[in-house]
Amino acid sequence: MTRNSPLTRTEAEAFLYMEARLIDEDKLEEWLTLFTADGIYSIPSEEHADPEAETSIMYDDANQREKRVYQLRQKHLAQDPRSRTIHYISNVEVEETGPGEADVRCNVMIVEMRPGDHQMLQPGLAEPRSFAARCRYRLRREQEVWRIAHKQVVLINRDLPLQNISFIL
Amino acid sequence: MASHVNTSGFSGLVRETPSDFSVHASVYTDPAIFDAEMRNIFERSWCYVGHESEIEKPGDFRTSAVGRIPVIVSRGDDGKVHVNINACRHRGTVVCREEHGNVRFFVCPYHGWSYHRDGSLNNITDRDNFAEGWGTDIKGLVSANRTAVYRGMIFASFSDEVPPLEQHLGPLKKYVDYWFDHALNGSVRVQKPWRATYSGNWKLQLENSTDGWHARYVHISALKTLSQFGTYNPKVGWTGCTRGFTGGHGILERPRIDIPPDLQGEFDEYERILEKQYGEQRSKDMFVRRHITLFPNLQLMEFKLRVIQPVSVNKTIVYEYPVELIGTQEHINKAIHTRLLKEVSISSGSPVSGMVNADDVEIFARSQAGLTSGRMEWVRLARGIHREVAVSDDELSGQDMDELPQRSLYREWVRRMG
Repeated sequence: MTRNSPLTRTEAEAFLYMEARLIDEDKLEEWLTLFTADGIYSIPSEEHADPEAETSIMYDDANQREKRVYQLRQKHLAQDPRSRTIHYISNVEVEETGPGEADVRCNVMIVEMRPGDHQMLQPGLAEPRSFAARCRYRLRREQEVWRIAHKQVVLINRDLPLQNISFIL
Repeated sequence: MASHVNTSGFSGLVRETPSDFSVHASVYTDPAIFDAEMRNIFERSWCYVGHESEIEKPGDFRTSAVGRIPVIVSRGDDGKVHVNINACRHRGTVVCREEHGNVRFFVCPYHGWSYHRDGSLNNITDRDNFAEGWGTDIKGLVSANRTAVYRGMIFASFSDEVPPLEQHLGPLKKYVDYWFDHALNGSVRVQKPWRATYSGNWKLQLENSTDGWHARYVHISALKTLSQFGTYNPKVGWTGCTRGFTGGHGILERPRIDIPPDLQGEFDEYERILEKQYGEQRSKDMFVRRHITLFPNLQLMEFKLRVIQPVSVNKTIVYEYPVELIGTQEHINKAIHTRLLKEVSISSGSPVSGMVNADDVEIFARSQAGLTSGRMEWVRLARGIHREVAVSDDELSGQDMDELPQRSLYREWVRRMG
């Protein structure tokens, strides 16, 4: 790879796997650094809704992502016990790419579980849940490193009543 | 699970003395009680089923529910609001499955029977194959016994014995008016909702929205985060009051302390606009944060409607609809929405992924799990019972962290279920 070559699918996959690993290994402070300063992380409740004016499941700029990670480090009841996640990424396609920017699509299956209820009393604890989504990434090269300018997670059940999803998808 | 109760009456499940108030755990966990609630409370009360701004034009509809009865709320060619049971008169098939839309006719997918926009019968297919005169009793979908609209809110009842809607609201009406008068022309447009579900009884959400006591515990991580990031000042004391009403309604009332600094200018300007429109006293009474319960299934929150949809004794759906204030300046609406949509205040965010509300939903599941044992028999709601103040025959007030709105809810529960 030369310094300014377009993004290959192999490179895109490596980037997405690395992001998933940071989330699954709870290295969220590192995950924050993957984004550009104006980067957006969004989970829409309707794919084409205007996130500045309408409801989203999440629509986070840098400040909001930092807040979310900060809260996860406090005694955040909805995340006590914390969600464990495993991300499976597939169907990676580099849609358009130039030397400075690339649009990448992939599918993701996230298996999530909150441990900790050893009497198995509370619904939602110790029950693996799966979240399937199409993802769109806009990556931008900054100082020779690809960063996330936009990550959009379009859940298949985005417009239905959802259970607690106060973890990073 | 065994039923703890005989089904002839449930009044023994709520106990009250001058110094104590308790509710039996089975009220949250017994499916037989849930069934009775659907019949005795939801079907025989005024239930919120939608807002006029969702069905502005003839043929516009939204689907909704009164307890477990699925309904279609539609605007007829007569321009009026109609509420009908969403079940074909032929075989009971659900006629309309979309959340909202516009139709010329509602057509049953099974054998093609069709209904006009107001729910009246348009056509029974293959008429020739029925006996002479058959079906003349079928006039249309089964309609709600009563439908009424107040400030754009559409309510329906499946009882003829409900009082007129305004009488049902009673002294709560004043506070409902305050809420809607936040819009300069007095009406709102509801927007697309957040949709959430939790593993717990419907009353847990109803109780929680007017519970001024839990925030410092349940929301400690959110408050700490907001103050760390400078959008909430933890030094501002929480004051205010609670109110409880005949009819099960309740209010948690607090000063608007959670305005993020970068929106303070817009909110100050908004306060001045309201003062100009309504005068100093009324605007001062209006411009506080109020969570208003309209028993049994609607809560007017900070610039959003919260609708509580019971599914079963331990499963509930919550819809939250942000509102646009009609007639209010665009930049004010924008500031209000920024506060709602971004995680900058205790009013912000989604019920499942927001920094504040997600913790409530977690508590509901935890409460349900604890109550299901059946041996922790009595839930206690006694805080401040010794200092309830009667404002009138139909209105009580208490301190901001008192469990007064919850008691009013269960006093009405007993009247309906007893």
